[in-house]
Order: sequence, then structure tokens, then C-alpha cells
Amino acid sequence: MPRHEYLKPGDEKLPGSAGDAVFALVVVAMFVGAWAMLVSGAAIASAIAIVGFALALAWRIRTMLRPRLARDIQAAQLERLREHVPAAIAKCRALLRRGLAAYWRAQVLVVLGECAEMEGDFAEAAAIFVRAEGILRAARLHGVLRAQQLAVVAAKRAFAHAALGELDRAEATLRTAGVRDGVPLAGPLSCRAMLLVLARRGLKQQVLERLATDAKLLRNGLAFRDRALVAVIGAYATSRTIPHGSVDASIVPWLTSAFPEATATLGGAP
Amino acid sequence: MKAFDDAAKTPWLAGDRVRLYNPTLAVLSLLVPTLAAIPLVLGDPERLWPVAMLLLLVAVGGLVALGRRATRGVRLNNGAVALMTRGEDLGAASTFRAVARGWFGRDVVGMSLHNLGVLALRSLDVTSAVALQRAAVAAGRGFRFRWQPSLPTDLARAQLAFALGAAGTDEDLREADAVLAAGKDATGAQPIAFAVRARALVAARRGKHEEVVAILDEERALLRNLLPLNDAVLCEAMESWALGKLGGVYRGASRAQHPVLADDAARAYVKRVLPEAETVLVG
Repeated sequence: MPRHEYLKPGDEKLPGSAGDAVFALVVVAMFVGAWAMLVSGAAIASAIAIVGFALALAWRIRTMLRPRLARDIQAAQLERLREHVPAAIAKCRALLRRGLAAYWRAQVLVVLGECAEMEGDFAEAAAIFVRAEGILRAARLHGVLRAQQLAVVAAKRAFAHAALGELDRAEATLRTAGVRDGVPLAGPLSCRAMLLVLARRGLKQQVLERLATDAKLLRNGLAFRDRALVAVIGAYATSRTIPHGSVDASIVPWLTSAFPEATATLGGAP
Repeated sequence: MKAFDDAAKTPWLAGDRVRLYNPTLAVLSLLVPTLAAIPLVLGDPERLWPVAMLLLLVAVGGLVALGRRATRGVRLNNGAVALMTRGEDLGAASTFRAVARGWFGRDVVGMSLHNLGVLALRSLDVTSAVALQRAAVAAGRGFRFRWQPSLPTDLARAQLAFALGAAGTDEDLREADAVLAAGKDATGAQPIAFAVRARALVAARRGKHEEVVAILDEERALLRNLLPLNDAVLCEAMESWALGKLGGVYRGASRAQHPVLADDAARAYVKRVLPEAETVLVG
């Protein structure tokens, strides 16, 4: 059973087209004004057309950038990072009900998926990341922007699949992640997912090779929860036991739900 | 600009001048040929049509060129950050340097200067880090619509305050206070976390041990979920060291100093930023 209700049917509203209609109306008004001026030779109509054009352009740029919305998403992300997960979920669901454009909807879904991953609800996380990835792939976006975001979402999705034991699916997801084109975080995240896949397949030698190759990437690119998981995977691969108390007790349930084989590794004496 | 001159003197820019443009002004200036073209077309369509088309071509071409330039800058920065994460600092530094002198938009250049500052700090070169972060903050200045967010400036402010805290003189700490006050409206998680780290360091430098523990306690979850290893170790070491200075008693309750596990790189980092806290490190 998942710990929270992350998404309910009807939570995700599609964007209305009112904004685009208003924009089109202003542009049409501008051309009508310009036409009137052409016919009558009136300077006022020309001025109205020019001002209308400038206003329409400014309004369009502003709505494309959506600074307030970006701040709202940042606020939801902050709640998650402060481990106020229910508050973060509530904020994300409220945002999704606002009928956002595809790019922003994907951003909110990523935060929601991260909430599920943080709570160890990997099935929900995988489902949410699949949704976000689908939206990003289908959206009208600049190629670079799409590639950057897709790599991170795919790396997170692959990790969730690996934690669920869907190892083939995780590997297939990583193959299509396009990490090279992604934001820098995609590198450590895909490495984390690959390590989990290898460890869950019991390929200890490959885990050790990967840990040696990507030691700095993992050290510098991951936060504490993921660093702990990497340490546990390393201990598992060398058949060591992690001393009791050297891993924060609050994340032990998360570690064992992501990597059940680690249960024995985590039971070392003090 | 003085901040850019000072940054150019650091070994990280090795005399290269910082060169950038303001994309907001560049886009607005492209409205001039567009607006000029409209009356030309409307005034005497037959005679002035080619001139108007040329002006519109300049405007559209300029917009496309600006967009491509921004994309290239972001790609270069991302590639260099990926190198930096892999620990290939020299390769990353040369790319950031090329971006900083390469006539990119101010946010792209600001992000490059900020990352060069982070590299400088990681290499324990605090003086250069301060100069580079000052330049990164300066890069974000100039005309900007109120609704335009500036992540590089918010990040650079938090990192500048931290670098000033690491430098540690009274004057540096006063400047760090001012920089933190200027960046208090930041909304991104990273600038907030880095600002918390800087506030704790400034308090530690001033010997306000109770304040150090309070600051780190308040944002414990954010810090642990966001900071890379060096900074996570530093924050734990600062707290443990401050608890030791308080005699293991915080706000009337017993709270013992604890050893903090650190590898060689984290130990060197803590030793440079707050040498007193090295005593709590083990491993």
C-alpha cells in the first residue's frame, strides 16, 4: 500500500486555450488597425497597431516564462527537500489542477515522483515518471530543453523500476535516457540506477568496477540518501557488513525497500 | 567593471577579460527595426517595401541568433558541470573560462563565473573564489524585468557569502552579512541551502556557537537532502564543533559532540574553510 495518495483521477487538468485565443485576438486587432491606417492615412491607427503589437508580444513572453508558477514549483520542491512530503504532495496536486502547459505539468509531476521515491513508494514513482516522460516527449519544446529534462526523468524512472525488481525495464529505460544531452545531474542519477540494476542481478564484480570508475561522480553528484545506498551496494558487493549506526536509522527502511538484498548488509554490530 | 578586472587577475581566468551582453536589452533593441518597419510598409508600400523587409529580416535573424547563442552557452556550461562532477576540474575550468570571455548572455556568463568560483573554493583558493563570485554577482546586474528569475545571481550571492566567511576577516564577515541580506528573497532550493551554510559559517567565525547549531538545526533536512559530500561533512563538523564549544549543552539540554566521518578531500575542505572544526573529523 502506498503511504500517500499522489494522484487522483481528475487531478491533472489540461490547459485551457483562452490565453492563446486572447493573443490571437490582439494580433488580429493590430492588423485591422494597420489596415485601417493604410486606407485612411491616419497616424493614430498606426500608433494603436504598434502599441497593440508590443503589448501582445510582452504579454506572450511573460506568460511563456511564468515566473510565479516557477516559484510555486520551487516551493513544492522545497517542501519535499525539507521532508514535509504531505505538504509537497498537496502543493503539486493543487498545481496540476490549475491546467498547466505540458512543460510545467511535467516539472510538477517530477516533484511528485520524487516525493513517491523519497517515501519508498516506487510503483507510484515509476508510474508518475512514466507520465512525465510521456508528456515531455510529446510536448512542443526546444530540442535541447526536452533532451535535458528527459535524461533526468528517465534516470529516475529507471531507478524506480530497478527498486521494483523490473530490471529489464530499468535497463531499457537507461538505454533511451540520453544522459549525454541531459542536465549534469542526469549522470550521477543514471549511474545510481545502473548500480542498483547490477547489484540486484547479483553481478558483484561489475558493481565493483562501476564503483571504481564512477567514484568521483557518485561522491560529488549524489545527496546523502543516495550516497548511503551506494555505500550499502558497495558493502554488498564486497560481502562486508555495514557497522550498526554508521547509516542514519531514519533511512534504513528506504534503503531496504530500494535494495532488499541489503537487509543482511545493514545488520553489523557496533 | 572592477569586479570583472579582479576576476581576470585570478589564475582561473589568467588575464582573460569577462565579456557578456544583456539578453533583455538585446531582445528589446530588436524591437526597434520591427517597429520601424511597420510605418515604412504602411507609409509607401511600393517604394519602401524592400527596406521594411530588410529591417524585419534583421529583427528575426537577431532573435534566432540570440536563441542559438543562449542554447550553445547552456550546453557548454552543462558539459563543464558534468566534467566538474566527475572531478575533472581542469577540463571544466577551461570550458567555464571560454564561456566567461566568449560574449554570451549575462546569466550564462554568471553561471560560468559562479562555477569557476566553486572550483576555486574546492581547490582551496579562497581569494580567487571571492573575486569570481563577486564577478558572477556583477554579471547579473543591469536592466532586468522584475519577473525575470536569476538563478545564477542567487547562487553566486550564497557562494560569495560562504567564500567571504571562509576568508574570515571582520571586513569579509560584514560584507557576507550584506550579501546574504541582498539574497534573502531567493526561492530556489539550492540558493537557500547554500545561504544557510554560509550563515552558519559566518556565525561560527564570530564564535556564536549557539547560533551555528540553531541555523543548522532549522534546515537539517534541506541540507542533508541537497548538499554534496564536502559541504554535508562541513555542516556536520561545524555543528559538532559548536556543540563541543558549548560544553555539550544546547538550550539547557544535554547534546554531546559527535565525531564526523570524512574522507581526505572532505578533510582538506573543512581544514581550509573552518580549521577549528577539523578536530571533530575522524576516518
